[in-house]
Amino acid sequence: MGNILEFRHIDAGYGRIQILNDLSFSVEEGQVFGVIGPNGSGKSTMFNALLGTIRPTSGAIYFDNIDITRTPPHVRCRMGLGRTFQIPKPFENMSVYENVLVAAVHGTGQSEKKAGHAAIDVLKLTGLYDKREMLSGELPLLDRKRLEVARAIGTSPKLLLLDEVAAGLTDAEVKDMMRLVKDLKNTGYSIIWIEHIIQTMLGSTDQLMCMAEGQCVITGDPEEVINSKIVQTLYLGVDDSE
Amino acid sequence: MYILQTIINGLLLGGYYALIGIGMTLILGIVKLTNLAHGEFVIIGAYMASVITTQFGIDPILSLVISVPLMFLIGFVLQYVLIGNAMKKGPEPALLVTFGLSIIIMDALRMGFTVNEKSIATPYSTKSITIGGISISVLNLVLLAISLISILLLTVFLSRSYVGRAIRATADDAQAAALSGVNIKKVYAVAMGVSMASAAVAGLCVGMKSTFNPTSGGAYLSTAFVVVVIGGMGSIPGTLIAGFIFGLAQVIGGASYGQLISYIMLLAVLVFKPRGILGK
Repeated sequence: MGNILEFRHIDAGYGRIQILNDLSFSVEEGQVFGVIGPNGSGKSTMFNALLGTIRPTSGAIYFDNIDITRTPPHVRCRMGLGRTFQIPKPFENMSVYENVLVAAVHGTGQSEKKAGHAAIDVLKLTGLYDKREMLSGELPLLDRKRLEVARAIGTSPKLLLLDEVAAGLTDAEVKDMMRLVKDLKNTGYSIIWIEHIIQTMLGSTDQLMCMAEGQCVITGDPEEVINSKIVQTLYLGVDDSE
Repeated sequence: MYILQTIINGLLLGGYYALIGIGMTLILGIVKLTNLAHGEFVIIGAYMASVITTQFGIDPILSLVISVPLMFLIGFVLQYVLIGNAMKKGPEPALLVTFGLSIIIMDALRMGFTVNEKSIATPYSTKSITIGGISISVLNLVLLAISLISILLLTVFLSRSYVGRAIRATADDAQAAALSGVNIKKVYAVAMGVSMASAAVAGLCVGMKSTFNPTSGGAYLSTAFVVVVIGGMGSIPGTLIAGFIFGLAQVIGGASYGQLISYIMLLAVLVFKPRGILGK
């Protein structure tokens, strides 16, 4: 299979503060691609650049072999990019169902009737069906995280971007989330998943990238990456060779 | 009996004042922009209604068939081409653009229509009916009906249509809405179009209720401001209630103290309930 996503020498940041330094990596279609890295290493900024919330100062991003570096966010969404936010951002004054419906109508361009059915399916898949009439602003944290995933899937993305969807959940809930990601992968989504919990990443990803200071430090088989010296140094702050 | 008469007069005007504020509250809630040209938008609506009514010799209310779509279009283009681009540079440039717009509109109206006072005459302007000793102005009753119907239509549009849902999503979180596939620039333009369409209706009511001239906009901007702040910036039910409060204040205070009472209320709301009467 080909690459669904390619970052080529991306520099990006906020105002004068540059976060991503010459970041290059690629994601194969159909894979779950994990991203780890210490706080401030640029993981979320990478998502922002990928979705067009910020614009790179140099480099190019290819999605499905199309250059999307200058494409506006809502168009990228319709091309097949869907993301969740680390801190959930539901449309608080709308019901859970309406949250997903907006994504299903505007993210795909299908009719409201069709989108309504799709939204119901997504709510069932993510376990929110029973709470569909609730105002999303009243949901507890776990459900807000689920809603983030539901809204992202609602746009029927080809590439799903998960930003710490398991952070703050209990072990049992994390297992639920891992199962959900596995289901999504089997349905045919390609996934990029940012997470701190190493065990989760070991169990769920096909490829793993570790970022530090806005660059890709190492990428490859998850086990090898986590056992690599550089990742051990970054996370534990020890270097056995010295 | 006098008190009851006063209260009813005030309540009859509530819808009218809410209608003047509703377009401004929409833009504040959705686009997060204080539109300083809103008063002039209302006056454009008044002139439009006046011209259409005299040109075609129809009932003033029928002029809305032309003025509402036309004003929607003007608002849409204005936001898409002008204000939207200013917003890219930050909220202050956009605010200044609306201030500039208000001056340009005022002068353009002066050139086109002279500074003479105008008004829109209706067959029922001076009629009133008496129920149980209380006299009710037919004109005020018509204004209340027009206002409530417009606000109801707006509410249904926002809650039921798919464009309305996109608008509410954008008002809640523009970034998340964009990443759910909503075209924010277009949503803002639609919002400004709807705001301008509401100003067309408000303008008609202003013309039927009182006289107007090219420089009248400022007074309606301050009315809108008071109603919007008391109502809790961006809330439609809040704006409606604020309209009724404002109406009561005008009637109780009369010509001499009406404005004063409403500004004191404005200050009180800002100090004690800055999120408006319905705010949490």
